[in-house]
Amino acid sequence: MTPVLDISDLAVSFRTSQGPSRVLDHVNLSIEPGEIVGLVGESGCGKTTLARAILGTLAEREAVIGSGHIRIDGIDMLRGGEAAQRARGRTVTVVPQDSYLSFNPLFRVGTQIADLMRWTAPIHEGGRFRGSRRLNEEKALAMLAAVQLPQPRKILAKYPHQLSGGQRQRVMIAMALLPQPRIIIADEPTSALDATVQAQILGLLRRVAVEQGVAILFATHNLGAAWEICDRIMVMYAGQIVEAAPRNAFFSNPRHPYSRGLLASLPEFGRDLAGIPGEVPDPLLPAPGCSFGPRCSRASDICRNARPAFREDDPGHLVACHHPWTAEHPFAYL
Amino acid sequence: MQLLRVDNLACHYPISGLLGRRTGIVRALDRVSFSVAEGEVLGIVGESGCGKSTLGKTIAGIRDPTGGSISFNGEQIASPGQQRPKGVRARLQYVYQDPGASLDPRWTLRRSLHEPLVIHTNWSREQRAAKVDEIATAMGLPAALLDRYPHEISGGQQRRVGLARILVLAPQIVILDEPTSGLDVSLQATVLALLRDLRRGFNLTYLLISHDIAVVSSMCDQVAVMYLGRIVEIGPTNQVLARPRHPYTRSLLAASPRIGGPRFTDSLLQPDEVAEPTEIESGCRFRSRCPISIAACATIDPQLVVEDGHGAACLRWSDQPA
Repeated sequence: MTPVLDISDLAVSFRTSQGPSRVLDHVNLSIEPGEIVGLVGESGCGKTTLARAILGTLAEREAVIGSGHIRIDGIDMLRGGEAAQRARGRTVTVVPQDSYLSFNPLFRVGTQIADLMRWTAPIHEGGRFRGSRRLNEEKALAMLAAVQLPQPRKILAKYPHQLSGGQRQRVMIAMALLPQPRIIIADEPTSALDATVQAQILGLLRRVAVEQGVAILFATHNLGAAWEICDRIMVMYAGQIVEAAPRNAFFSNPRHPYSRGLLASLPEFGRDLAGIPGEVPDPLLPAPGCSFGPRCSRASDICRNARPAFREDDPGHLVACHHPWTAEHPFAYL
Repeated sequence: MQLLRVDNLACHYPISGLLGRRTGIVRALDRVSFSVAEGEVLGIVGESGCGKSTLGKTIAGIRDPTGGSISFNGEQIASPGQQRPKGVRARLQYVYQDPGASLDPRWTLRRSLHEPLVIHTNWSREQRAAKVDEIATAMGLPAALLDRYPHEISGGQQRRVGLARILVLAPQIVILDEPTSGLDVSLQATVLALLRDLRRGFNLTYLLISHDIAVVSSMCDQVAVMYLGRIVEIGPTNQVLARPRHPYTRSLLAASPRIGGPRFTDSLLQPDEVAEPTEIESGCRFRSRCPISIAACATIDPQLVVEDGHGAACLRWSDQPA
C-alpha cells in the first residue's frame, strides 16, 4: 500500500537570538491508510513542531527546513505551492489539544460548522461564492451523530463555552472529519479530559480509523492511551525518533532505555516510581553523541562520541541506541 | 490515632439568577464523612466537578463549610460560622498544583523560606535561619542556592523550594491538590517520588487530590472516590482497586488504560456525561449513567455502607459479582 503520509529525513530548526535551535533531527515517518501511529515523547521533544510542519503552519520567519520532504497523498507539503495549500485542512486535518481555544467564543457552534462547510466545499470554476452561507443542517446533524453526540440539534445552537470538554472535543473530531480527510493529526487530543471521557474519545478515534480508513497521527505523552488505540509506536526524544515498532512488539519488548524509562514512570499500585533523572537537552547545544546519553544508565564512551544509527534486530522494530535492551531482560509490568 | 475527622461536611453554593434572585443551589459537597489516621495517605479521586478540590479547600480553611464539621487532633476546627482556631493553619497546609509558582520573583529563595516563619512564629532571626537551613539540607537544596532568585534555578528546584516553604512550619497534614496534573510521565514520577520521600522523612500525613486513579493508587493507603459532591466509595487502596464495589469506581477503573491488558476501546459503553450538581433531585446521583440501576435508585438516596473497612454508597453493590 502506498503511505498516506511520507516524511523522510526531515530536519527543522528555529531561528533564535542565540543561533539556530535544532528541533527536528532527520525524522522518518510513514503512515498507511487506516493506521494509527502514536508519536510518544515528553513535552519539548518536537511532537507539536512535527505536527505543524506536516500542516505547513510553521512560521516562515522562524522555522528553517534544513532537509527532507513531507508528502501527503503524493503532494509535497513543503514546496507544493497551490496543491499543498489546497490539501491543508482538506486532505489533512487536525484535532487540537485544547478544543476551547480552537473555537471562536462569539459564534454558535452551528455557525462555525457552516463556515467550515463553506470553506471546504469544492471551489466553483469562475464563481465567487463557495456555496451557501446558511448551514446545511441535515449534513451537520449527520456529522454530529457520527461522533456519538446526543441531542445534536441542541448543540448546534450552543456557544462553545456551553459545551463540556468532551462534547467540544467530539465536535472538533466531527469538524476534522467533515472534509473527508485522508489523515488526521491529533495532537494530545485527550490530555485535558477526564478518564471516562478520554476513553470514549479514544474509542471514537479508533472507530474513525477502522471504519473510514482515515490515517491518524496521534501525538501523546500518555503511553496508556497509545497502547489503547495505536497500531505502531514511535518514540521521540529531543527531535529524533529513537524507537519505532508495531504496538505489540514495542510494549512486549521496549528496547531503547528512554522507552523503558517512560514505561517505568507510569504510576501503578505497589510500585515505587523512579522517573528519568536529568532534563531534556538544550536544542541550542546539540551533543555530538547520543542525545539521551547524559540521562542514560547504560551510557558508555561510545555514546558520548558517536550518534547511534538505527538498528533493526527484529524486522520492523527499529531502535537508535548503542546499547539497546534485549528480550533477555524483559520489561516487567505489574 | 485519628488526625483529621470530617463529619457530614457540606458546602452548598447558591446560584444567583437575574436581579440577584436565588435560582438554585450547587451541592459541591454533600454529607461527606471520613477520617485520616496519622501517617496515612488518603487519595481523593474523581472527575472534574465532583467536588474534590472544594473538599480540599474547605478542609484547608480557604472555604467555609455550610454544614457539618471538621476536627483536627480531636479539636473541632470548622463548622458553619465558626472561626478557625489560630495555629491550625501552620499544621494543616494546602499545596497548589505547582508549589514553585508561588515563589515571589523579586525575593531571594531564603527570604521566601523565612516568610512563613515570620508569619506563624515569633522566633528570632537566628532561630528561623537554623530551621530554614535544616529543612533546606533535608530537601537537598545547597545553601548557596538559597541566595538566588526563583528565575535562576530550574523548575524542579523551584518545586522543592516551594515544598520546603511549607515544611519549615512542620505541618502534620499536607493537602496536595493535583500535584502532577499537566506534567509529563517522567516528571510526574520524579515529583511523586519526592513527595513519597518527604512523607517518610518528615512523618507527614497526606490528603492527595487527583483526577488520575493511577496516581492515587501508586501513592495512597486509602482511596475515596467522589461523584457529584459525595463520597461513593472509600477503603484501602488494594481492596478498592481489586474489588471495587460502586459501579462508578468500576467505570473509572475500566477507563484507565492497562498496558498489556485488553483494549477498553473494544468494549465501549454508550457515551455519557456527568450530570450537573444542580440537576440532582432525588435518589442516587449516579443512576443516569449506571449500568445496574433499578427503579428504587430513583427514590432512595444510597448512604455509605461500610463493611470490612470498605464502604460504598450503592443499593446494589452486594448484588454484583465480585
